[in-house]
Amino acid sequence: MTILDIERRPEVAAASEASRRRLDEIWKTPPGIAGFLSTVDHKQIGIRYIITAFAFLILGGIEALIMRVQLGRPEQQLLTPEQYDQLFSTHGMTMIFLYALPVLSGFSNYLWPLLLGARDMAFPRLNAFSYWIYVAAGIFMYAGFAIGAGPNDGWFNYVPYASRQFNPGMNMDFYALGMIFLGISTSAGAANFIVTVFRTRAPGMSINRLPIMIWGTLTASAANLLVVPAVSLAFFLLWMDRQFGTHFFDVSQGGQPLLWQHLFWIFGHPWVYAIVLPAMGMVSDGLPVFCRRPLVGYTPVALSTVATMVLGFGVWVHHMFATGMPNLALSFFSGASIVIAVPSAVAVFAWLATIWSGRPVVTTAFLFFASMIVLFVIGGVSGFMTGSVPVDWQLTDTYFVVAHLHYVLIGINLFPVAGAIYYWFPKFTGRMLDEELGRWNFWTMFIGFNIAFLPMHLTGLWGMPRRVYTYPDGMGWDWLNLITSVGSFLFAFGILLLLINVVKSRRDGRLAGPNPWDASTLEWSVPSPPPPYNFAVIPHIVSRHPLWEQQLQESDARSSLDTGYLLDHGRETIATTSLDSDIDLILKMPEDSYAPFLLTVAVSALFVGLLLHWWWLAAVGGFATVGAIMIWLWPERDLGQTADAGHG
Amino acid sequence: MTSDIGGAVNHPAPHRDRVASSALLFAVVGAPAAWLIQLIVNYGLAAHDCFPHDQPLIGHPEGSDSIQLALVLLNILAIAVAATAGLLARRIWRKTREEHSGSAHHLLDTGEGRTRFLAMWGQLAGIGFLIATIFDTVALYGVPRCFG
Repeated sequence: MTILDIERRPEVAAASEASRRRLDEIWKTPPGIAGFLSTVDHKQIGIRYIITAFAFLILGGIEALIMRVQLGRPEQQLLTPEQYDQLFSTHGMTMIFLYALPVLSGFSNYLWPLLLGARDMAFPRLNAFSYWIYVAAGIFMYAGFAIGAGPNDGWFNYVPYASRQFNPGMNMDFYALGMIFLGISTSAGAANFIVTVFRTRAPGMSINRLPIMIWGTLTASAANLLVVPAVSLAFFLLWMDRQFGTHFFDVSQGGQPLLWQHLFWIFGHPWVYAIVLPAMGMVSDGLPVFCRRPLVGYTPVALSTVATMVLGFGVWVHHMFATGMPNLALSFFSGASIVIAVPSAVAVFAWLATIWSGRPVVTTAFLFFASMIVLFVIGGVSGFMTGSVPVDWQLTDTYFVVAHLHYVLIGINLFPVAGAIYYWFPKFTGRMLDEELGRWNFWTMFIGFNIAFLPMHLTGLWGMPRRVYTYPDGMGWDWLNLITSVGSFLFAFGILLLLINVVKSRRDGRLAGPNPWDASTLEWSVPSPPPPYNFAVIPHIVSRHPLWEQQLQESDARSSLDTGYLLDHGRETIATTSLDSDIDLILKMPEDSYAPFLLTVAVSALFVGLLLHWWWLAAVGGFATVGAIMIWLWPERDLGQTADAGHG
Repeated sequence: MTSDIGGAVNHPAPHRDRVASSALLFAVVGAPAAWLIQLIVNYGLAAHDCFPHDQPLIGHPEGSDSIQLALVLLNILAIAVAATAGLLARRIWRKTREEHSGSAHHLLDTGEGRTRFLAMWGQLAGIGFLIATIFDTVALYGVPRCFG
């Protein structure tokens, strides 16, 4: 190889059996534990993300069901107040941090290179590292819960309740360090997504030809890179206050409790958009396939995705309307919280117009995608209401807010994710999910969810505060809570049906073939499941719907899917320019490596040492972290990183 | 490196050379950036005016004139930036609207023609964030600044 190997003119060829075999040898991960620990294949990492996120969803769901038994009738004594505090806090932590974003990261990890026409993510080892850190941070945070020291101050963890004076156990230490730990994963993953989209798209896939799901994850990733440092800093300052007696949040010593709320919500509200925008992208890309037509209004929908996130940076104070800030200061954020309905409405009307003007094929995936529109509108309208300062003062800390956030998080995350599983499961496994069981699955979830959470608006309007472990008889909340509890069990049964369908169909589902839905995007041009190298040749794209060009007849040009860059001198993909995707270089991609796993072990030791004040372990973990990074970054000749590589 | 497959005919942005990248960048991000900056500075100034130290200023519902003037000037500046970005996007749109076949309506649906796609984004973002900034400016006159 010469240093100019990355600038050589790649060979253009049609895919052949011989080239496929050669690429398979180059890209495949060895079987067994060695491959499990060292793989950097985005598809394997994506599936692991999804499975791990669903494991956390089940844990969070069980916690929710226990709470619903406790709240099913007044004066219930199944749980103590402390147990209830830990349950609702751990439930929030689990669903928001360990399920909602990671499950979307799983889909994006699996699908991005396939959607973009690349052979892997831009930084495959960083991708593996992001996953391992996510698992380690999840175990770390749940370890506290397992020993009775889970978070107990809500997922947003307000001071002064979280300070050592009022919360002397290890609960907050697990949560604070765990959140900093998890932030490493989120930041690494976000950086990888951003570079991937701007560097590894197939030639011709200019930014105006990106699937909306790519826009959704891209904006979410950019937001995460900007806001995760705020929450990591907040938790670090809290940990310092608790461990070393600093006074960042201690008002008696000149600290500012409101500083916590600012730092948390500067992160927290964009995070909410980060866990819905990629899911909205899934709907924008999946729904039109079942309407047999392209999405109506691609240009404004793509813009509205980005605009929602920009506006999302300016709404954090609406979580703090009841803290006594000056009126005018609140009004700016109230305005932004209401204006953000505009880009959301653009997407809603685009989806409705797509259904209206299309020829809908009512599959289970379609039902999940279409129902999301209804739930989105309900959750959006209640959010719009709380964007108004006087209304928020009435509703804050009531069950109305709990109803709102569940319509947002379940309606715009879990329902699209369920639809995405029905839509992309054939690509993941080569088999179709059972449609009949799917109908039962959908209707049970949809009816159960609405029975559980629609009456909860009324519970809040009738004054029931959130986060109380029980309530007295005769308040008028009894039957509403009972209905919610019944609905939540029905909803959980619906999710169980989804899991049963996945297990059953994985084994004996109908064979799918490459493109069972006659869909239009690149992932459907490769076999199901895709080979380790994704594309036998790098495709060249001339439209947003490379597989529908014949039907749409938007122009005479046709994408080239069977003839393209072969790139078989080791693990390689093409690097393209950020706006127009003109070809630029050949990217040498790294082999499988244990370095991401080893680095995760080292970082885990560091965090355990900090948690337990085992400073020797923290020091060992710190040195091991440096060592693992050096192993990772040690220059490799095959990647053109050594001085002699250019003369070889 | 140029593509051996697609060729110039199929380039997604044949009119890209008609517009400076910096102008296109300003047209797209100018209005959102102006809105976001005015929002955050508005918030800081408005809050500081009523709550300058550890305690809120009681009996001071309207705040100080100098802060009010600063807020107004800031909002006028933000409006000017947003309007300029939107108008620039309009100008770029006129230069590049023929980049791909089909009208503005067609572009809204398909997105084809990368330069004109971004020009359309700039126009829509310019209008949207200009309106959002004007609403914030109206609040300067319609909402009591401090408490009460």
